[in-house]
Amino acid sequence: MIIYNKTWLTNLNIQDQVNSSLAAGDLTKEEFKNIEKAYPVGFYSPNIFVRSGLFLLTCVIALFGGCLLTYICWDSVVTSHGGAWVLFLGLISYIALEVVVKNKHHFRSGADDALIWISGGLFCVAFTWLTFTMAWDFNTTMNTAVSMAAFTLFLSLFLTVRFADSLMALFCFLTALVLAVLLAIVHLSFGKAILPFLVMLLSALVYYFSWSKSSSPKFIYYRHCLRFVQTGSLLTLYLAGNYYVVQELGNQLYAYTTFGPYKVPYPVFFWPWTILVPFIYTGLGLYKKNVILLRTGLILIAIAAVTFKNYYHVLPIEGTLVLIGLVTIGGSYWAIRYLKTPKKGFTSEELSEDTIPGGVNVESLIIASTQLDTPSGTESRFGGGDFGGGGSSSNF
Amino acid sequence: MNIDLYKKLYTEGLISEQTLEKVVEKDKSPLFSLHWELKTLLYLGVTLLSTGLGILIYKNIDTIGHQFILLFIAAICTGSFFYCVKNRKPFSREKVRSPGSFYDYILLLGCLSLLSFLGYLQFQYRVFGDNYGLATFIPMLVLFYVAYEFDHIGVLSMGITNLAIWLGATITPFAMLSNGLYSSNPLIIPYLFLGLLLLTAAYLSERYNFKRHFKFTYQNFGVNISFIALFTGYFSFYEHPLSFLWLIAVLILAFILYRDALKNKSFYFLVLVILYAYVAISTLVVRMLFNIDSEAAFVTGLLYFIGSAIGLIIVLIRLNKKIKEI
Repeated sequence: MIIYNKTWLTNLNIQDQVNSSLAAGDLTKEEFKNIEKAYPVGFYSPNIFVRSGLFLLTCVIALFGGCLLTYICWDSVVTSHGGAWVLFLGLISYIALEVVVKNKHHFRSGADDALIWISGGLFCVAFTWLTFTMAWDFNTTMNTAVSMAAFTLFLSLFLTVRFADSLMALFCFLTALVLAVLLAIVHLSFGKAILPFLVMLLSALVYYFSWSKSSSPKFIYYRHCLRFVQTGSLLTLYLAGNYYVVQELGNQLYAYTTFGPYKVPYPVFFWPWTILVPFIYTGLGLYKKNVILLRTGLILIAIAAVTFKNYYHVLPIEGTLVLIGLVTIGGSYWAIRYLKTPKKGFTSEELSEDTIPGGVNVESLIIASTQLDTPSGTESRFGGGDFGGGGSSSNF
Repeated sequence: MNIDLYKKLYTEGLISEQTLEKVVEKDKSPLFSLHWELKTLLYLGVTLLSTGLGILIYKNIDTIGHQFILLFIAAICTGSFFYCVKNRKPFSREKVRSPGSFYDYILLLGCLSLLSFLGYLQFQYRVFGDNYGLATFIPMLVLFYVAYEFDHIGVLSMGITNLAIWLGATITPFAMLSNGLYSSNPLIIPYLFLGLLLLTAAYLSERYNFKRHFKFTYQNFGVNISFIALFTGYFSFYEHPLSFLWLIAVLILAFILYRDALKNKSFYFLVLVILYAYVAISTLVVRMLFNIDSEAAFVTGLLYFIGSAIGLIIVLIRLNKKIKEI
């Protein structure tokens, strides 16, 4: 089912694993070159900058190519039926994708990334257009939404399985959630009431699945996908029970009922969930030495803090910021000092340098883009980027 | 770590016995690095603290307690700098490895609180009077000095940003005078000047081997500012018959930077410069086709974009190979 050459994928996996030892200095460069020769990889996968360039240019080609084809065929019968025409364009880009991957051996090169999303998007537009124009018995908008979600789910599942694209895998998981929610609303009388719990249950199941399968040899080609799905399901698991999210979505669904404005039911459950779950993630991440749990937990702690701040004003904002800032700096100072010599398998040192080719200093770029302060006035003081670096360490 | 893989590689004769031993030894006591998490927390702490201080100033600007707030900020500032001076390594023209990530972020905190301090002084006590040029010039000098003295790229970026602000503050009166000569956007020339200045700084730091690793930051700002200034110039003088000269300047600059990127094997600048040049050429082509204004021109335009994008993809792939081979 997977389109890529499986031997090359296995070899790539071996090279990736050995790469960490090379970075740590255990492996000599010559040994690495020997391994590269013994386990060759024939894919064309350039570095991130060339990849972005190819992505952009592929989009340009697809856009103008589509315009040109439409222009040429403007007077013929085909274009008069919009949905069919979009379907045709989608088919063309899908064929282009297969050709690029099969014959040119592109693998995460930017060109294939762009074509996956373009063809997927065109197919979805075509499906919607066709169902609308053919006027099947989708009388209610809800049924149309359900059928669209189902179609998107199957399409993204197919694209994930065939191209092992990690973003597509995440998208597939999200559409599955949307579909489940829509189905619950349409077909269950109590569907609206159990939405948070339904999403939680599904996310937990998906997390368990993707976590337990992450090192299984069966899913060896989908490791990246599983990592993305793990992160995504952890986030949705938490957000489904986040007080603010529950309230906002409840407002959208119910608004004013006969009982008055919407209030979150069971605050006894949702408040502890909002505050405690991020800490549980972080704690488990540390305990199990699981990077995904740890980093997701850290980001969610920030979200939990903002949620809490939204409802309860204990301190004025500036006092809170100064206090949290001081505590964070002090805490990390203590942690760095404490872990100077590794304890219990933890260290504060860098094990291997994460570098992007071309010597790009990511840190300085982040600082430059978040600290645009002028000393001449005070107006510019606001919006200094409270959580500017919040996600800067998540290099999944 | 997958020990079986290493054992297999060893039996195949691909890795030596020492390597296998090292890996097995490491696997017995695996280390889990919290480096990036701690770094992010530090950065978050510094940002929160300085933002909080900023709001503190903003809210208390017209109530009592100026001296107290000033003192508080000054204490944080001097404390940070004291820590950094105590722990610093001696100055060198080469890259100085920082003593640790805590040091880096405390230096950043010191600089941010210094900026707050100076801004507060200026706002409350008008230390520099109405001389906004001076009020931005002094922080800029301090930032550049700190960046070089303590070898901190983040502070350098802040210095460059302040340089742009200073240029804006000083140039405005001059720009107002010259408004009669030039049209719409008075900041094109200063920003072009700034961009070229930064590119020169990048060139010089490499040429004279003075903090060579600062080159990337200078060049990154310089490339983007110069190209954006040139494009703004072109579009503000769109009706002028000689406006295409701006785009010619884009191409010349792109060529120079292209040579430099090839020499330094920088994929980042290579892709950036090629895309800027592509936009310039495409702008010219589209304008020409607009002037013809016929159906054939429309089709030509579509064909141009398809063809040129395919061509550019081939160029990028070839260049990628070429850089790897050098």
